[in-house]
Amino acid sequence: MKALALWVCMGWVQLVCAAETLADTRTSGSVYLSPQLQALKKDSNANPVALWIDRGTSLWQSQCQSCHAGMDSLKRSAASFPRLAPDGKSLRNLEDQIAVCEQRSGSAAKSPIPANASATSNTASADNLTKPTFSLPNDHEDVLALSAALQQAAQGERISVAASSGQDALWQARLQSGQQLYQTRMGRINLACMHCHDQKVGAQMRADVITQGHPTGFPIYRMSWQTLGSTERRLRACYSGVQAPLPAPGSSDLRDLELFMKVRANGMVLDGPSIRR
Amino acid sequence: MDTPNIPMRLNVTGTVRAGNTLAAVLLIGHPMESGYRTLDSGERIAKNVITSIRVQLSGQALFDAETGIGVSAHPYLAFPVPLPATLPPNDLVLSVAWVDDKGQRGEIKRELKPS
Repeated sequence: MKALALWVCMGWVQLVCAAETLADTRTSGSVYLSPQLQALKKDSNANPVALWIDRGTSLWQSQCQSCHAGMDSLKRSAASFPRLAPDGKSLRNLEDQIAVCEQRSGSAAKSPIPANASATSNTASADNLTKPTFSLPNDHEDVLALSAALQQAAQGERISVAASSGQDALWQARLQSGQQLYQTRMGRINLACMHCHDQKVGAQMRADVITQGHPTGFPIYRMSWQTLGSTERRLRACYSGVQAPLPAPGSSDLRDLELFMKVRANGMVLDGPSIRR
Repeated sequence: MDTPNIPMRLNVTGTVRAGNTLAAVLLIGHPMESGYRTLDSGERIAKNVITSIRVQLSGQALFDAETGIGVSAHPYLAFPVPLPATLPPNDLVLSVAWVDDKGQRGEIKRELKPS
């Protein structure tokens, strides 16, 4: 009996090991960077992202610290976005939350959040026309600066995106919509996300290597943009890459997709803000 | 014209000693708008690049750089800082000042303390 128990135990250990090796096959996009760019990322004197982190840190001290304590107190939280808003109507990523927070404290834009701005329907076409949910877009300089500083503080945290209590059904619906988008062919090139980022990982696309598409390093400084950009901007660049109609910044399609990608990367270590070609 | 929105970083490494040469690294968060880009509306974005960067060591010119649209956004400049053969009684100050097409100016200073 004891021997059997031991055998079962060992089998279980092997299973767990197998599961862990499976999990280990997921990699951050940073591993595909050239040695030069990896060196640039590590060199805080030369890394342009430092400019945003500096600015974010001073914004934090002047505007956020009076309510939130140190930035370290929010690093777990930073790894748990996107989340549903308390009313369940819209999905907020970290940048949205920063914008909402700035509005609440009255320190930035004064314009009110438009009611019914997003998330009334999950259909792709209608939502392409919806206006951004918040008056400060994801790629607003201050929002990006705060996001970069928070992500810097959250470096090493594991992505843990889950439904809040009582919002499970709504959250699952958004997740499914995101998964559907990930798997739906679109654009004149007629590709879905999964055709490259699941099925052609490691293949060369022009001068770039196709990554697994895990959003661990956002916001990113992309050399071709010559600036820092949000997850949303990167996703829109993918839409443009397959020559599909671009969803408006802040549209629920982009949030659903981001939710699915974050859930797909659950448990991975955050390594942003990062640099890309 | 004050420009608080353009962040700058200036880092100096090396030992401050008479006759020594330090290494300085400068990063300016300037968009360096080339004038060739357009908005989605078709409107052209006006050219606005840093036209000159003046680097001084305690008031003495180290070099003047004339920059143009060939320099990318968020310019990165690395340069040597040769120290004089005898150090002055006061701390040396490395200062960088720039001006762009809009007439915006920025300046950053670092005191070089002997160690």
